[in-house]
Amino acid sequence: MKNGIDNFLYKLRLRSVLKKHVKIDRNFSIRAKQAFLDEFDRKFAGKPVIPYWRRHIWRYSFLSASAILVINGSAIVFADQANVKASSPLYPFKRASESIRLKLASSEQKPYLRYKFAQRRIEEINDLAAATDNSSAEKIKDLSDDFHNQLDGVLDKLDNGNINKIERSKLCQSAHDIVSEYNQASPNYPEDMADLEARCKTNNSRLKNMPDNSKNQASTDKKKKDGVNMNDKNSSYGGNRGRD
Amino acid sequence: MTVLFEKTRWNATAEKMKSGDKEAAGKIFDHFSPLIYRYFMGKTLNRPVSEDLTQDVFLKVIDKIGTFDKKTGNFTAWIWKIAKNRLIDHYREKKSVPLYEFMIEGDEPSAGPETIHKKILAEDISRAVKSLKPEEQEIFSLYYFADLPYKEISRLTEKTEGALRILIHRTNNKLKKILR
Repeated sequence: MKNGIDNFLYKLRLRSVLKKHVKIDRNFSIRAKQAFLDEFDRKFAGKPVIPYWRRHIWRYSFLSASAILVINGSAIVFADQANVKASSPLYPFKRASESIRLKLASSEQKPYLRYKFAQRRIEEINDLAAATDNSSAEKIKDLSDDFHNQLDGVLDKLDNGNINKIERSKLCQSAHDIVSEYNQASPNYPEDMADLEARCKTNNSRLKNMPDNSKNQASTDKKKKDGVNMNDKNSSYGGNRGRD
Repeated sequence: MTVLFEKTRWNATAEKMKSGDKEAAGKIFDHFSPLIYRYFMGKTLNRPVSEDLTQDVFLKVIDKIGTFDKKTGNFTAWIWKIAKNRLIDHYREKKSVPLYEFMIEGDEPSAGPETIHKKILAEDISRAVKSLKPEEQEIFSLYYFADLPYKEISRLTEKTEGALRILIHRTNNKLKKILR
């Protein structure tokens, strides 16, 4: 141990003595540097100096874009999974996630997704209504607009006619429930219940003239199996308020 | 960690120099010239020769900077390779006899007792370095004069770090006896 410390101190001492006594001559250093830089000027004379960052701009751009993509992607996934509130700074990411999910969903899945998102809007309106914030009114208006959009998306399925009787009646019932719930949450921007009932009735009368679509029935059964029935409170699409 | 940081730092500076950045070239000179000079002093024990060799190394750096590629190696190793090769060339063409002239600040004829003491010490060091075997002298110069870490010396001399530690230890013992 003592030898080790002695050796270490000896090395330090020797190094400092050598550094002190084997110093580069200051005049030589200045002269040599000048000669070096003159030679450098001669070699690079006329050549445009391209800054380091500009030569690697593509690499930096790619890295920046990747970083932005990863950060935004993570924020989108997190905001959707955590079902963040409308007042959260991550809320725009949640809405972005919903748009992406709607874009990627098949036409059969879309109404169920829209139903789920409409339910989210009601939750968010309730949360905002509970908060006594001045900016809430504007946000509630925005959320109400989106609720109407989502509901329109759900009801579009009623209008296209390619839907069987059982599914139609369930869809109407779910829409009726959710609109009642919404009208309680957001009385300032109510959804027209009479219009909804009229749409359900009109389509029901149209339905009488149509043969029952066994394919659609099979599809409905499959969705029931997969847990996408909107009336099922435990399904992943319908009636899952408070679980997201 | 420090070695890694240094490596990245000098690689980036060398890349800048390669693209024509004069300031980067100046930084490289300021950092490496004292180290390379001391290395040459440790090997040749001759001030004018060390100065010439140092200057030659930096002219060579300008000449060859276009071939430096940070992907294939690091700049510190690259510049030391140039210094080593220049020294080998010097020994091949060697005509002069070493003067054992160390640079001592305030080395004027009218200097006082402190300068005389320094001169005696410098002569002792010259004698000690001269007594080493060429291989020991090489490692000694790189370690004590050029201040390089074991890792860097290992890369330059193609010896393992363990072997270098043993060699330095042995050299230290030898020098202790001479300098005592």
